[in-house]
Amino acid sequence: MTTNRKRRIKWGFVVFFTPVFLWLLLLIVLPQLELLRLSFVGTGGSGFTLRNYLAFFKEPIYWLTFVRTASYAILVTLIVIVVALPVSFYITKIARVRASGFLMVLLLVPFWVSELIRVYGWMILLRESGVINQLLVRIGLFRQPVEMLYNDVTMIMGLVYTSMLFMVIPVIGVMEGLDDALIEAAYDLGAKKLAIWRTIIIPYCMPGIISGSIIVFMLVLGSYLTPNLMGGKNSLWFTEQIYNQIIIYFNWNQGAAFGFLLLALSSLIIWAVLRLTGQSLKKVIK
Amino acid sequence: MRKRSSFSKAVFIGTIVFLSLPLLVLVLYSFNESKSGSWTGFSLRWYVKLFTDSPQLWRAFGNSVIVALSSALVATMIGTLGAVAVNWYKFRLRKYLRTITFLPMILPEIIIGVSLLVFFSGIGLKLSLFTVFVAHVSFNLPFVFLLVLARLEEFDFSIIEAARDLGASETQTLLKVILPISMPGIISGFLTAVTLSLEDFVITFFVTGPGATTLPLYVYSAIRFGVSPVINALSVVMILGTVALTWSTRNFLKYIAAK
Repeated sequence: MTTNRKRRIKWGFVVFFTPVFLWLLLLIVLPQLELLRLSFVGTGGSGFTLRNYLAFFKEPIYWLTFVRTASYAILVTLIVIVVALPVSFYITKIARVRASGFLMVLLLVPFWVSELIRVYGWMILLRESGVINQLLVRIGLFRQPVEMLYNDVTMIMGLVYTSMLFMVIPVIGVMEGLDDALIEAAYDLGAKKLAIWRTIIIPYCMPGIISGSIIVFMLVLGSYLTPNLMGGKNSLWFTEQIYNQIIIYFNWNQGAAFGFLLLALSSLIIWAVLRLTGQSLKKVIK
Repeated sequence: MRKRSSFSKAVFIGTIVFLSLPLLVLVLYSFNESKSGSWTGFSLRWYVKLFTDSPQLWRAFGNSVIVALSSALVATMIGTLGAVAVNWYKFRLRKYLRTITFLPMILPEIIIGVSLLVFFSGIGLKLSLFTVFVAHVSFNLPFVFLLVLARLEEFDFSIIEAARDLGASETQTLLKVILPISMPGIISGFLTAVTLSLEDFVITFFVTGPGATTLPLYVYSAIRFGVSPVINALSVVMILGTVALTWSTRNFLKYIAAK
């Protein structure tokens, strides 16, 4: 009886477990390993080589693009932090409880819409014959329309736009737990606004800020659509280098190496920042 | 505290304006008569063109719907089975399974896309709507798996043991106890999968073949080279569609939570 039941349980297990395990193994893990293997193979299909990785460090255009992408990703993360803190503060501490649910929806709805459509909205606003140009020319501020798309400032604004939610959500989550009395007490004892932010609110929200920063940084670094559509013809975003190698030059080995460099270097940056700010990943995940 | 924080309020209002501006402009200009950025008068011509004279767009839409429904369905079935397995049986591999389900969620989309492209060509599979379907199941699977698992873990395992002790067979326990309690997780997993699939651009971009254009790919190629007002009208329809879909998913989840 016992052995019989055990065997049946095993069978149930095999039937339930095998599809998901096999699917993920064959279509996620195996392709990654194949990509890793390709990155160590020469273009002609010859044996093991580090050439694809060395090319990244030898060609300034490659590593400069990465440095540029990473710096912009850090910049976007910082801007998003600066905006997300007061926004979260307003929703959790200042707005009336009844209103805050509605305000939250107001904040969320733009993110329910796909990235492509949001970027398209900005294109209509900012392009040379776009809405803002027409407006400025009509009121006489501009003599003629100016192309506002396809530059770094616009691209950064677009990236802030697409990634903001991923900072606001974790920060709100932490800030909800902050006791209002703490802030009131600081006011009553004569603390300045800035001092309250610096010594109470920001330290308290640090776990949320750090986890939000990791998500935003990775998302921006790996984004393709926004830099591609809002940045210049050569927005020089690192994901575009991967795209170029794979699709345009058909050099899959080089593209594969770039993919793994993107993963390795971004993990390295996150690790370094956590180290520098004295945060541990375990604390953040908690 | 209210009056002291005008700064936060100003930033909040600025953010809301910033976030909704491009969407409001899309809605407004979808009713504009002319193609340019200046307002020339109210017109429904772009909607008429969208619904009566855009065969390629609707073919892409059809492809998107086929892929979204089929991939969400398969991901939901496989993911649910996996979640039940992990929740029900104790085994050594479950730790590894959890780790690899996180992979597709943390890897940059472009890397998943590229790796699938390399993989498909390696095994000699021609790029088509089928490869898009396979790719979509792959990135949808973890979401369904985790949503169903989260739902199962909310429940006390003892109700399953109780059912067994009262003489329910394994099949009965599965159909009459486990399936009903995980239903909210299954449905929200399915809806999430449909939404993700309908919106995906980057991964689809790499694994699609000739004639297998999905709606996001069509929109991308249309706006890459200039503005087309039909896309404005389409965007408005899509905004309404996604908002309705997400709204109902959220309310559904709330309704379940309240129950």
